[in-house]
Formats: sequence, C-alpha cells, structure tokens
Amino acid sequence: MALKPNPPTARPPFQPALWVVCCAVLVIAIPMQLLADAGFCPAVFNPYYLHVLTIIGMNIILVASLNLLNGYLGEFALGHAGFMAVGAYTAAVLATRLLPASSALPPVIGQVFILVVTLGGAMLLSALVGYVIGRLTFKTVGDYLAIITLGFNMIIVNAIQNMDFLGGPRGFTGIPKNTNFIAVTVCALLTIVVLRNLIQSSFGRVWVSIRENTIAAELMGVNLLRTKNLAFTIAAAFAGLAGGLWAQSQQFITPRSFDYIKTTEILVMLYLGGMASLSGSILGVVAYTVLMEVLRNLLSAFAPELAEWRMLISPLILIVIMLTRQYGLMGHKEWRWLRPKRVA
Amino acid sequence: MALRIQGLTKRFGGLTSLSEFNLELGERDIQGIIGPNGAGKTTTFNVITGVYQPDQGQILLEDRDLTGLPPDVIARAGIARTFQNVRLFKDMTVLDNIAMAFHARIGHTLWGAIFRTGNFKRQEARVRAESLEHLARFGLADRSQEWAGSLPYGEQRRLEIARALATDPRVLLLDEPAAGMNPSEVDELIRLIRQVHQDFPLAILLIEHQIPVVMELCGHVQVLDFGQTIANGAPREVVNNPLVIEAYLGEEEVAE
Amino acid sequence: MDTIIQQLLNAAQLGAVYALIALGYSMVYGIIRLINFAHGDIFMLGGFIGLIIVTHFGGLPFCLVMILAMLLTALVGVTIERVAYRKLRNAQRMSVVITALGVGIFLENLVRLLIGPETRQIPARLPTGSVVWLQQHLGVFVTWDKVLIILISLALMAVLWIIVNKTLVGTAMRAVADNASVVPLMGVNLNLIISVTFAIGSALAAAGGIFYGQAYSLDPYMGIDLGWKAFIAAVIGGIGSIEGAVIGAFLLAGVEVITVAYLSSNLKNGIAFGLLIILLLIWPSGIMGKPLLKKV
Repeated sequence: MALKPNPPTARPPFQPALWVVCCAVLVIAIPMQLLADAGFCPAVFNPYYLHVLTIIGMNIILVASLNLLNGYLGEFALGHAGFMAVGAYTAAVLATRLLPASSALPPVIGQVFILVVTLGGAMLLSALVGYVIGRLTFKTVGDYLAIITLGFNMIIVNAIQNMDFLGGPRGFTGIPKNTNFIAVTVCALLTIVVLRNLIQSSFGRVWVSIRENTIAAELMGVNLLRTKNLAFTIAAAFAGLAGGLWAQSQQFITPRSFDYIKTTEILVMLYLGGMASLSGSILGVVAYTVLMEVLRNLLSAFAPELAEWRMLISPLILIVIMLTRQYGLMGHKEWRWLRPKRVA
Repeated sequence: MALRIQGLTKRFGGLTSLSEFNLELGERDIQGIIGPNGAGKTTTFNVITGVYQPDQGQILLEDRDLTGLPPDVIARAGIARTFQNVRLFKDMTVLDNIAMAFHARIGHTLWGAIFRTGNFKRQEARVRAESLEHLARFGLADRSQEWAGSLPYGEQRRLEIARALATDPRVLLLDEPAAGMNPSEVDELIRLIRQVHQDFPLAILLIEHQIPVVMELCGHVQVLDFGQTIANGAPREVVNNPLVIEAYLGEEEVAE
Repeated sequence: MDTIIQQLLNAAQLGAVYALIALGYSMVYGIIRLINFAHGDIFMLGGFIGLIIVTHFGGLPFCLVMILAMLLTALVGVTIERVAYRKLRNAQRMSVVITALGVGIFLENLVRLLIGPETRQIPARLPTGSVVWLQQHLGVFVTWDKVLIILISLALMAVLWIIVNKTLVGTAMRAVADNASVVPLMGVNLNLIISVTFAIGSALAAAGGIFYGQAYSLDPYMGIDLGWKAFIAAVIGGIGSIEGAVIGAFLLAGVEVITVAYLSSNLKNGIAFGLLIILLLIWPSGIMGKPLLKKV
C-alpha cells in the first residue's frame, strides 16, 4: 500500500487547540461579512469573494460528512445529494412559512431563530430519511450499496419532481435569504468539530474497525447494521444541513440540482482531498472551488469562447487523481490541530 | 459445561461440510479439533460463531441457546475467536485494536462523544488504561502506538489473541494459531496459550494442523474428515487410531 | 387488440435498445467485476458517431453506417479501458468505479461542447413505410423501421451468443469470468480478452445508440438515464449473465411501457429505480445470476 499515515508516535512540537483555530476563523469571518455589508473597501470585502467562500463552507460540510462514510466507515455511498435535497426543501418550506414570524422579532435574534429552526428541521428530516434508507441498504455491501444509495438519490429527486407543493420540476422559488458567510462559517466549523469528536471517540474506533476488517469487527461484538446506520444517519443529517444553507443562500432550488452530477462533484472534492482525513476534506474543497473559479475568471477574461470547456476539468481531475494519487492530497493524514490530543 | 453442541450440521448446496457434530467443552477445558484440509474445521468455528447458520443442531453456551443468533450477539454472549489468516485492524494502532473491544460493553452515548462530556472523558481514560494494562499482559505495551499491520507476524498473532480476550469471553476459539510459525515460535505460542488458560476464567477450543501443539495442550481431541467425526478421545489414543492415520495419509497422496 | 400489439412492439423496440446496452454492463461486470458507469455514455457517443457519419457521408448505406459507427465506438471503449481502467485493475475496487464516473461525465460534457446541448434525431435511414402484411392480416399499422430495429438487435444478440459460446475467444472470456487469476497461467492473454470484451460491449452499445437516435432522439445527457435503465435490466437478469441481460431488458421495457400507458409517465423512473432497489434487497442474484456466499 502506498499509504503513509501520520506515524502515531510522532509528537508534534506545537499543536494548536481546535477551539483556538475555530475562534481565529470566526475572527476573520465576522468582520469580512460586516464590512462587505457596509460597503467598505469593495476591492477586498467583495460580495463575489464572500459568495465563493460561502460555497466553500457549504461544500466542506458535504464533503466532510461524506468522508465519514466513504473514508472512515469504508462503505461506498453514492446518494449524498439526495439528502442535501431533503434538507434544502425542508428548509425552503420552513423558511417561507416562518417569514411573517421573523419580521416580528428583532433583527439579529430573529435571523438566528429562523436559522436554528430551518436548519434544525432540515437536519432532522434528512436524518430521518437517512435512517430509514440506511436501515434498508446496509443489509448489502460493496457494489450493491453503491447502486442502492444512488437509486435512492434518483428516487428522492423523482419524488420531489412529482410533488406540486414543492414546485415540481420547475423548482422552489422565493426562499428568503437567511444565510450569510458568518452563518455558513459557524455551521462548517461545527460540522468539523462534531465529526472530529466522533471520529476520535469509541464510535470512530468502531467505524474504522469495520472498514479495516468487517468480519473481525462483527465477531468482536459490533452490531454492524446499527453501527453503520448511525454513521449513515449522521452523514445524512449534515448533508441536510448543507442543503438547508444552500436553499437559503441561493433562494431558488430545483430537483435537478441535487441529482447524481452533484453527488459526483462532492466525490471529486472528497477524493481530491483524500479519504479518512478531515484536513483533506477542507483542502479538497478549497482547492477545487478556487481552481474552478480562477479558471472561470481567466477564461472569461482571455478566451470567452472557451469558457464552457471548464466543464471538462472536473471529471479530468477525478480521473487523474484516481490514476496517480489514489489517496488524494491528504489521505489518512491530519493537520496538527485536528489530530487527537496527546495523552502523557 | 461451558459449551455444549449437539448434532450440528451445515450443508452448502449438496455438500455436507459438517455433519452431526457434537462437543462438550467443560468450564476450564482445552480441547482440540484436528483433521486434514477441507475436513470442515473452520466451518465448525464459523457455525459456532454465527457466521454461517446451522442447518440442524443446537449450540448452548453455559445453558444459553445461541443457535441461529447473529455473530455480534454470540460474541457478546461470551464466545471469542481468532482467525486462520490473521484479521487485525491493520491501519489502527495496537492500542485501538484492543480499545475497540470495549465499545460494546461500555455504554457510550453519542451525546457524550460529540460534546466531550466529563463522563465521556473519564470513560475514555478508563478504556485507555485498561487496554494498556491488557496489552502489558501480552508484552505488547511498548508497541501500543504502532500500527497493528506493522508488527512482526508472531506479535500479530499474539495481538489477535489479546484482542479476542479483551471481550471477556467464556470460550476462546483459536483457528490454527500455530500456522506459519517456526518451532521456537510454536513453543512460545504453547506457553502463551497455557498462560492465557491460567490467567483467564475460560475454556479453549483450538483447531490445529500441527499435531505437537495438540498433543502438548489438549486433554481431548476430535478428528474431522469430510465433515464427519472419525475419532474422539485423548490425543495419544487418537493419533494411533487407524482411521485417523488413513485420513491423513490420504491427504498426503493427494498432495503429491 | 390493435393497441396491445402496438404497445408490445413499442416495448420490444425499447427492450432491444436496453438489451444492447445491458449486454455491455453485464459482460464487463462478468469479466472484471466493474460497474462501468461510463457505459451509458458510450451508448450516447455511439449514437452521435452514427449521426455524424450520416450527416457527413450521406450516401453510405445504413449497414455501412452502423458497422463504421460500431467500429469507432469499440475503439473508444477499448481506449477508455486502456487509459483509465487498466492501471487500477488491482487497486481498491471503488477506485475504478469512481474513475468510470469521471469518464462518463467527461464524455457527456465533451459531446455537449462539440455538438451542442440540443436534442437531435438521426435522419431516417431505415424504411419507414408500413408493414403491409401486418396491416392486411392483423389490421395493425406498424412501420418497417420498428420491425427492423427489433430484428437487427436480435440478430446482433445471436451473433454475440455465438461468439461467447462457440468461439475460442468466447471460451477464454468465459474462463476469465469464472476465475481471472488462473487464466494467465493457461497461456491466455488477459489484457487481450478484456479489450475484446470492451470492444464488443461498446460496439453493441453503439448499435443501440443509432437505433435510439433513429426511433427517438439523441442528446448528450441521455446516457445517464438510459444507461441506468439498462444497468437495472442487467441487474434484474442477474449481472454477469448474457441471457439474463436480454431477458431483464425486455422485462423492464414492458414494465415501463405499461407504466406510461396506464399510470403516468412521471412515475417511469421512480418505478424503475424502485424495482432495482427491491430486487437488490430481496433477490440480489437476479434471474440468471449466482447467489453470493460469505467467505471467512
């Protein structure tokens, strides 16, 4: 195996605490949004940059949660965009219903209240859908699991297309814009912290043991169906969170934007970053999103007639990574602030 | 009686891999199962541990009926095993290989793990301390932070036995523990199994290809051939049984 | 009576196209245990190659157009295997599946960029007149192209059956499917056999693409939808089995035609995928497949 994880005995000379890193990110994120809102120095605090950063935040949630399944648990799930759809539509319905209530509350508190309710609802419902699907699918493994999860992704999209109260195939319009860069940053940081805590707990040990040797894990007393489904439900909840943020940031969603092309995009970022590494998930998302945006700007500035050729880049990256560096940029490695704390 | 098995039968299609298998394993017994390749030895373990469902028969662990239960339930009930081809969690540390065994027993809550509650941290510290202590008994404490897959073969075997014992079993099944070992490693293994038998309150059932190991350790041996028990008794009597010699000789001819 | 026969023929035509695609999935899976997610897009590419040949060499007879398109698509299929899959044959199983997904999206976007996102049709090259005999004896109006599509597809499947069961190369293919690790020991060139499998699968898919472009229409993203349907058909039949893929394809087409005729066309995909999931959960070996055994 070409894989070389961080040697477990290596003692980092300096290991910043997770909460310090999180605070540092927030210290940068909050003024960025506020200054951009105030129109201060638009060359730096530019709404377009914030838009790109917002997308990066949402994608980190999606990719890191899928890494829980594909990287740590070692089961190949292909339906992540389906759970994102469930979350997006739940949040969209809740947000439009709650619109009158939010205007009755003071501005910041009202916004936070709406976000907590809509995102909480999105996570709950996607977790529920995830739980039911997981219950059915984890009787199978390998190729079968991949196909069935993808099948459920298609069915979710098809079901939404057939629901008139969700706008059917035309999509759901008029969702209030409740999220901004701060909200997305907080959610992304929460996702990373929660996933890290889980992975470095006894739950994480059991998930990884299933990946390493399923039969041995089962014969050590692990209830496979329940343990795998727990991971699946958690991943679905976070996909729902990303969907809820997405709906309230784009303000318009269609079923087609959650089909298997979206799932593949998530996979590209996941594999670019690397399996079983939260650092990799963050890095993969940033590298991919920035690359695509830079290409978009360069091409439209210098060769507008080639702008569309950008579409070939993402599948090509995926193929080249798989052929040359199967474990991605950071496979099985973590940045210091995400590693387990040393115990003396 | 630790483990009582009656009339255990397993068929694959038309082939009967195990036929009317009986076993009475006392509280502190060490018994052996021997037989030529393809005799149904590993199948026996797979049926006892629930990997395969038996077609007939009954499995009782300390009078609890385990027949037809799923493998994880059987494992938690008190049957632990090792594998013919070592099955460690290779990309996990030696310590985590042991620590994961505590998961089923310690009631961790998801809530506690996510928010790192005081209670959760105390439990984790306890798991860690107990795992290290357990490793120390097997002389693996100083390896605790290495990848399980990077250990030398003999230590991997030892770690696998240690891991099985971390589930606190009543019955330990060892599937060809001496496979691939040289004579000095085999001697060490025999000492280890004796030690385990002394230190832990359990009964041991082992499958072995190397007759000396069985002679040395077991008070009672069963010989399987084509899924049938062809001999049964003390090791010295069994190896001189003409049926057993014929079964092994038959194998040699096939091998040549 | 009239509508029933019409519907039956519609189902047979759709089923023939599904079968031509499903065979490629099944053969490749049988040989290297890969779900070739790019196969649906090879089908799409085959259709477009046919369209390009027809538009640029208008004078060519239909059978030459088909043979040319099938050859070119076979070449593409073999190249994809050589460049994107071969290196990963002994890597983790999922690496190849992901690469195949990437190849599929690459092909979709490439065709879209080169030819455009519009829906197109291959200009009628098969006779479209009515089958007079059927009209006179059964009173059913059926066009010749539909009958020909079904007949040529069945003929291609018969040729495949002969290749697999009666030729040396077919014997080698079956041997690889049975146990790939011992085949090189017997002096068979494994790479060659895998290439041949990809070539045959891609050529059949190209024939399906041309038929589909003639009977319905072509667009760069059609490979996703039809590829999945054909894959479901292969699973219904028991993936890895050639006869199974054909049976599954006609069954699925029948179910779809009935759904559209008596329920709603919106439910078509939902029912197909629902069927897939139910089948995989309760009958994973399909009609002709072998049951899987847990090995310890």
